[in-house]
Amino acid sequence: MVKTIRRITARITALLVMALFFCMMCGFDSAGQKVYDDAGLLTSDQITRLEALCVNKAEASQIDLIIVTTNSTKGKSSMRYAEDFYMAHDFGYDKLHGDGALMLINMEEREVWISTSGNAIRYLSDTRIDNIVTAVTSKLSSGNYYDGCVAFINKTSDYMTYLPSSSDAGGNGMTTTVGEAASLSEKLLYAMPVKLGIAAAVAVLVVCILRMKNKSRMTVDSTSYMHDNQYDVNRRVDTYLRTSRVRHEKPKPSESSGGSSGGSSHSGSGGHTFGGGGGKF
Amino acid sequence: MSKTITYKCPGCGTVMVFDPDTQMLTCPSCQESCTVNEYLAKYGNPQAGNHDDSGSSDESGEQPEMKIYHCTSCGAELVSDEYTSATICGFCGNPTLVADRLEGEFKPKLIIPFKLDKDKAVEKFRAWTRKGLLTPGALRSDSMIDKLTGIYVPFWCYDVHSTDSMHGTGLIVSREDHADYYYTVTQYYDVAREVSARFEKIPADASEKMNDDDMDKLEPFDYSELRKFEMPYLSGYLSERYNYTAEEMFDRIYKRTNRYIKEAADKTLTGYSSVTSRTDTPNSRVTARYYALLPVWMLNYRYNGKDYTFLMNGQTGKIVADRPISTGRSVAAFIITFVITLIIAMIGGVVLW
Repeated sequence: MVKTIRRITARITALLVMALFFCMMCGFDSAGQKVYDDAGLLTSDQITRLEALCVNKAEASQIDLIIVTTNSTKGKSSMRYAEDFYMAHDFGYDKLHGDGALMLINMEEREVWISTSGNAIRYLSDTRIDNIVTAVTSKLSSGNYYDGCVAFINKTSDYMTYLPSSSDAGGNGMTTTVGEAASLSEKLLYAMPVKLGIAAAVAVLVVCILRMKNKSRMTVDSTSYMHDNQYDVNRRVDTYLRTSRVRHEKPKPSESSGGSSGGSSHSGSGGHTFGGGGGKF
Repeated sequence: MSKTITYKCPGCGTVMVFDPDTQMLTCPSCQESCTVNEYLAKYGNPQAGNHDDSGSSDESGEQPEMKIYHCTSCGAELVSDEYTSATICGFCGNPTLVADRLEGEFKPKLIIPFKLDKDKAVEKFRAWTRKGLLTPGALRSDSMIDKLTGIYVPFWCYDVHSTDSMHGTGLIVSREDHADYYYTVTQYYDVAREVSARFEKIPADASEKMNDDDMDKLEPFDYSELRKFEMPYLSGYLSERYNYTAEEMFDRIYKRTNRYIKEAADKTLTGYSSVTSRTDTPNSRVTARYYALLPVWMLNYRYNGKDYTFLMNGQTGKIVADRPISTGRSVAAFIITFVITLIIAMIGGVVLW
């Protein structure tokens, strides 16, 4: 009995450890550039600090955080420029062009645009984007570009800790914050109902798999007992009769809508799905 | 042509027994051994000098001394030679066997001798119980393993000639693409096939007590080890007389050969997307039949008020068995998995946040 328990334990542990490693292997390039100050709004010292903050918060919120400033969008809209920029670089937390949020400060139009990709689309609902944009533009309009960038990073990563709920239409209800302030026991007990649910589901699944009866089956087939395992074909008729042709209209490609409770999204250049929003300052 | 067959050891005179390991007759006291055929060649056939391969039932009157055990609890009738003693009934597991002298004939024509002896069978059974994590530990007890019985099950092996005349409509469907529309193009063919096959020695158990499906699943047997039946093979094992005559099982065997021949016809229908309005006219005919004994290890037992059967091919070791499930072990497995997953989820949560 003890031996059996040990074997069950070993198998299950191995499986779960593998799953955990897989999660951690997600390629995030913390060394890459995160702040592209093409408009020269920030000092080099500020850029260094923002880079560090981007990397730090990216790990906490599991999305890539990018800041871009520009004096000219070369005729493109802010949205288009932001999305093209995202696609042109190797951004994305989980994979290339994966989870991420990019803020563009367009000095030509004095406009801010936040583009979201992957998981960020679900977390950053339209209301939340508006909240972030409002917070950022209030800083930018008074010329505090560095503070605006910090506000973007902090607010975005805060929102990434929990999904927007339907009752939380304002997107402001920061009920739980898992920041550096949380103690170890708080971290252990965080989202306990979910963890209990996962554990119960896994346990049920494992027991079901173990209970499955591997019934023995017939292993002889139709040719096993045939003389030399062969049969003879004495007559073979394949006579062509007729051909029928039925015409079908091809269905028109339909527009797919974005995530259910998340932000609205659309297909950007190259077919990649983006969400986002912006505002003037 | 004595009435009792005693394969006496030429060295010391002890009665020799058949050893599945070496497939030879072995003397338990002086380890002398030889194959059955060697013995017969050297020391003569105690049964009859008749080596006629047609081997039908005209060796009248030379019935050796044999025992038949009646089970007073389940009614099973087990046949053995006079040197084999049995106490526990292999079918119901009760120690209710009463020995008697066998009246009438017991003349199988062919036999595949046991290749797995009791020790190997027990080993395989133990391995099987260990393989199921939820299999109750009670199955591993010695009293359970003692009931593992080696039985030569009576089979009829049939040679069958089968034909199938098949007719139907074959469809070849393809797609032709245009800008805004496409065509589904279906070509229709008139399809007919006639296939035939000769099946050799399809086994069907003639034992009433044995489940037909389970017996079918024990196949395949390796016929290269098929021998002419000789009494010494029986030593140490039990057997049964057939409960069904060869003719009584024609329907069962035709059902199988008709299915096989239809499957053969299926294989000739290549190149079609589908075949519709198909009709088959299969026909089978038995051309020869053999009364054969095939080796099976059997263990019948009850667990939680339900009957279970463990069967193993005594030649190849293939297992056909239901696995009882222990409720206690299921609960234990659930709790262990639950706790481990929860701990990992909690620790994993700290690492990820």
